[in-house]
Amino acid sequence: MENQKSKLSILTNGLIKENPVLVLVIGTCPTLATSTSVETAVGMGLAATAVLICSNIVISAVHHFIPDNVRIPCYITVIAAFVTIVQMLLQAFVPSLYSALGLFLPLIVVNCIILGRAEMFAGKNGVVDSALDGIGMGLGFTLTLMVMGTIREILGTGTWLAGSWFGLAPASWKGIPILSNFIPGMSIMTLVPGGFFAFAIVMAAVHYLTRDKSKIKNDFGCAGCAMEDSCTDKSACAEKGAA
Amino acid sequence: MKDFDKKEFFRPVIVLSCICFVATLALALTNFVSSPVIAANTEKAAVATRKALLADADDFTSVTDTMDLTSETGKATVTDVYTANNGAGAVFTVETGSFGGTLTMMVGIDKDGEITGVEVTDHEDTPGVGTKNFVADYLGQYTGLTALNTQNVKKENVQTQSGAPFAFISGASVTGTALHAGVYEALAKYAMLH
Repeated sequence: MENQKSKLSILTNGLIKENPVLVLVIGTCPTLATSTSVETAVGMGLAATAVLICSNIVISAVHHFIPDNVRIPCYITVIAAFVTIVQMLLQAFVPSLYSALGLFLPLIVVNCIILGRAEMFAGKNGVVDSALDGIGMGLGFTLTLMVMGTIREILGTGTWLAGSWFGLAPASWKGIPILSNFIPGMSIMTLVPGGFFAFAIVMAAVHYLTRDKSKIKNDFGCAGCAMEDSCTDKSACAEKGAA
Repeated sequence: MKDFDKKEFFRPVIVLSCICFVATLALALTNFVSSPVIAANTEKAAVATRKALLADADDFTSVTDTMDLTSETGKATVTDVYTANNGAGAVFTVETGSFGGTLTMMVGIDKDGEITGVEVTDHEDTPGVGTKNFVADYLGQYTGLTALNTQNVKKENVQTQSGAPFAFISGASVTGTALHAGVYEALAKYAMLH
């Protein structure tokens, strides 16, 4: 693996070039579920980012001691512990955020992005790089959720940034009316099909904008593949990737 | 066949056990710190909700132990009952099975048997779908009612305080029915108080 990657490029990789949701296409389930409004999108994005950074740091610190054949159970244990810790701390000290995230918080345990980064990055890199990767990927995830949340909220309910903002917004805050003064909300946008529409549009836009600038497949190469260690035909894969 | 490699066999077990042990330790520590705060928060929230639901009440006394709380409806169960010390009414905490799991709600009923308010305090339903039943506009339909005609929200035809027929939320009727059964149960238990 090219170890000379600059710290900045590790940090910014997750934003667009290797955006976990739009380019790697992992973590689709929480993306569709929590992007119904900007408020839930931000909450989920930040909670997942916190867990991602912590788990990346711990896993990169201990991955030398973990035998290969039990690495997934070990990663899951670390991730589940962090999620539960975050859950208990939120419930105790930020109950409004805890109740806003509700069901989605325990779902972070099985968020592919966190396990995926543990496997693809933290298990092969140092602590600092892994922490940066966690921040970048987390921000990429949060930003994607916010963009999708914006589309779905404006079309679905007509307002933007509505919600209690985890108890911080004044009680009279109803969001910025964008379309609600003209047309009623299209509630399909807040349901699952609308999630797929928004997902496809954002994904297509990002791929269009980055079509020449990044050679995504090349960059991933075999080093980015979870099956690298057991792969028997790396040359074929590299050829396909370059094509 | 290869010789039995002790190191190969025991190392994963030991490493995984160590990680689990450390994780458990961290969780126990966090729980030690957070559980008293969570319990205090829950109690404070419950007191505040009771006050909000029954504004005329001065203070509350639990009468949970003096009542038979066997479920009337089979769907919902009253878990505690607090009566206002000045006789303004009572607040019931009801647990009911909803879409995602247990839904906990509080129902305030005043001395005339009129519902003063319904509040959901805990739930595991889908945000954005089931939670549409938890907004003040929807729950406000219960205010002022003294009886419900049925436990099924879809068949409910009782007239609300504003004169309009009771309207359930289409697409979120599992949660709506759970709430409805909870209110029905609370009204039934209120009748037993007198």
